[in-house]
Amino acid sequence: MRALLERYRHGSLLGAVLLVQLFLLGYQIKGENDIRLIRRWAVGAITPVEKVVRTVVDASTSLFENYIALYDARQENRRLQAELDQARLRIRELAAVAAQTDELTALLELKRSSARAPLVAARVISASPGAITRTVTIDRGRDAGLEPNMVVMTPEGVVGKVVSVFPGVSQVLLITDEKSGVGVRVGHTDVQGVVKGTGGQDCRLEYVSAEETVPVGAEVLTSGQDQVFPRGLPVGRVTRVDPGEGFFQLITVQPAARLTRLDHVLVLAGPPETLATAAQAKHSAGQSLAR
Amino acid sequence: MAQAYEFRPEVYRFHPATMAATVVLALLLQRILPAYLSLGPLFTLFDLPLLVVIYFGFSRRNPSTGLLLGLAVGVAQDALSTNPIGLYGMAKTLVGYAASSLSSRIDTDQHHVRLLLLFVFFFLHQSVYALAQRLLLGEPTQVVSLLVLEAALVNALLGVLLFRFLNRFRKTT
Repeated sequence: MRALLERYRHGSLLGAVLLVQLFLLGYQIKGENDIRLIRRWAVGAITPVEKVVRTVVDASTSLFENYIALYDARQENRRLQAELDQARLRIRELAAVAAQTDELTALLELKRSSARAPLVAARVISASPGAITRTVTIDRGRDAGLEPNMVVMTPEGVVGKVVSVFPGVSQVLLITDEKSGVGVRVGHTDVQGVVKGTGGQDCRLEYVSAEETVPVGAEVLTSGQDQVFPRGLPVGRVTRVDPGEGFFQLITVQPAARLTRLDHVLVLAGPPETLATAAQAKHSAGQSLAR
Repeated sequence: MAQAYEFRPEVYRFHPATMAATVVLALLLQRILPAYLSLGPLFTLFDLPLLVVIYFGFSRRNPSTGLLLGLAVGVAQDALSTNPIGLYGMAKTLVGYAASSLSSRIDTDQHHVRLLLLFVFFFLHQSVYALAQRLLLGEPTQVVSLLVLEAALVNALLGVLLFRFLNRFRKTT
């Protein structure tokens, strides 16, 4: 350094002298707002450095804070996700409880409104063992007074009939089973037929003459002709009507009861004369529940 | 076989009192003469202190001496004027440095060389001064104008004469 200064001593001296004078000028001369130039130069010289430092510090701080924030956010996200999952589960549970409450309320109303009809409340404890067979098992059996051919239903409509009775449990054949048949009429008309199961989710209304007019959407009720299902119970609703190849139409009926989501059911266990009254009451209760 | 020319500058010495008196006199004359003599607008651009700085720079041929002398003269000139201290100072510092640096490389004892260099250094002085005025004071100043050209020429001619006179006081080392 000394050698360098020695070598360029004249130039160094020139630079120093000029610099001193420049500072001297800066100290003397006042610019805008009566601010000395040297102050303005000092601010002008230091400001970019300050800005760079500020930018670097801000960037570092921001990076650090964002990293921490992101880390916290990730953890919080996990926690919230877990809470959300729990909340969703809780909502499902509550919805299920609410649905169950509605169902039980409807059943209770049905039972109250048909106090004379002997109704046995039961719960479905298992579903169809086969792919085609549509049967369910309920938790009431012989000890509850159940017998074969007793009608099983929900407030919405007919579910099926009891086919096997055991101590404590009974087996119910759903109306969608291929072996099932329910004598019905369409709405309040004289058109009658038999609702038979298809093994699927829908039923078929058979033996309706091609000359009869069956509107889509018409309600299908039990006719009482089969000596099993009392008259007036809702069975389902016509969803499709096709002209058949022979004398009869091909009519599809969607069951009124939600057979795929059965939980609580009622078994009509009274003598035949009380069943018709009970059936009417059930129909009313089903409609109110549907509403 | 041709012999290569090697410039060996002669360094002159002055008595310190001579140098001081010359500088003081130049400063005094620069202030007094315009008050008593009416030499027209050209005289306003006469710069006797500048000529003195250039002369001693040429003679001493030492850049440090030249720039320090330029500094002293310039600051003194600033102090005597209404200028902020340093305007003339910077200009004359640079000219003193340039004159002494150049004189160590070329023979500045020739009249035509002196005339040319005086012309150039006057311009350098004016340019630095004008630039400092413009940048620091924000005053619009012209570096090149007809008046500056005429003044540069007059200063150069006056300088040649002045240098011949001052040569009487120098001593060879």
